[in-house]
Amino acid sequence: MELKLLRNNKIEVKNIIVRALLEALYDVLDIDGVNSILKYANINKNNFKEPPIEILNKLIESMNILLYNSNKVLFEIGRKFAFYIAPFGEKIEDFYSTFETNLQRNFKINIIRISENNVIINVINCPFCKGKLFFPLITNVPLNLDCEFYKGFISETIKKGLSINSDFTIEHIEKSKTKCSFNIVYKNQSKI
Amino acid sequence: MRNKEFIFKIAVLGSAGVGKTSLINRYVDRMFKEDYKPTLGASIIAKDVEMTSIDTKYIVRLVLWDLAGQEKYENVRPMYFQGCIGAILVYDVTRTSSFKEIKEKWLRDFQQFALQNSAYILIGNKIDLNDLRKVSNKEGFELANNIKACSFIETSAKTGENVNDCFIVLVKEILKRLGENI
Repeated sequence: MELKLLRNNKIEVKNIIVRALLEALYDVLDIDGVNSILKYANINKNNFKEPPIEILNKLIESMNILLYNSNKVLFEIGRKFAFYIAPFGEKIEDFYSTFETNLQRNFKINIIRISENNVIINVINCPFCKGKLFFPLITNVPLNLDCEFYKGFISETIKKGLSINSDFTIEHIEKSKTKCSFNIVYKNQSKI
Repeated sequence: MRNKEFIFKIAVLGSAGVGKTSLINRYVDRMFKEDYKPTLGASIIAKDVEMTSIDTKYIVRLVLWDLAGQEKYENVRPMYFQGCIGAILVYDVTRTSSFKEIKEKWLRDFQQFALQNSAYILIGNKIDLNDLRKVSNKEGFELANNIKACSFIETSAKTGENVNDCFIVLVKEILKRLGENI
């Protein structure tokens, strides 16, 4: 399966999440990178008839292996992914609601405003954590990976949401199989 | 015998057309294609390798990043290097320019962005084209010493000569640098 088939509309990918992820992968890794991810995921043009969550899970598992230790790449893919999910999104909530409503599973993103310059984002039942925590060859050694993909995603949504260039830090403060939390601290006064 | 497992991200670097993709295809799929199709962006392949020492079985997942050699990818390449613990620096023994660029370009970029204790091996590819050779074996050894490569091997992706060795030698060197007795 080649991405150019997608781009020429010879294969229709209706689900906005799957399409956004493929476009983000293409932007960062180019055609051979996307095809590597698809090949490892064993996805061909026939697979795009499967439920989106099935395709997404395969793509994520493939990314977890092939993009191991590639935090900058994952961050950039996450950032681009946010853009393609809601190219005209203006509020942080626009991105997350698009994300939630297009995935049929118990997936939620909660935004908790702690103070004027501090926000915590909780990601519950994140599809991107599936299979991420363990190296599955023989002994299930915990990898303890940081979720750079989500940091990139959150970074882009915050920049769009604020519509200004504000300095902020994103810290992954909690990670479990069902919930991840990210702490965002603004250096300037928050406008969210 | 105890088991230990590792994941190594390894970049395969060198000028366009030196045979990076062919080396990986030969190592992973044991095949060679005559036609040249430039890599666009980064082609990424995973391969699991098993090695044993006296008392330990090592299972290593190699994540091989075959990076496009063209100039248009110079801006994104540093991002691809991040997290690499090893590199295979490839030149074409029939092209002097590809040999010169190892030190002037590829090694410099790799060392700037890869992990600090990373290991790299120097490979002179296309030795099946011996009649067209422009870079001698001696020059290859000298460069390997000069840039402190862990080893120097001449290969032919076409015939398969020495291809496995270059990956195995590099993996062993990385394991040693991680304190393993192999």
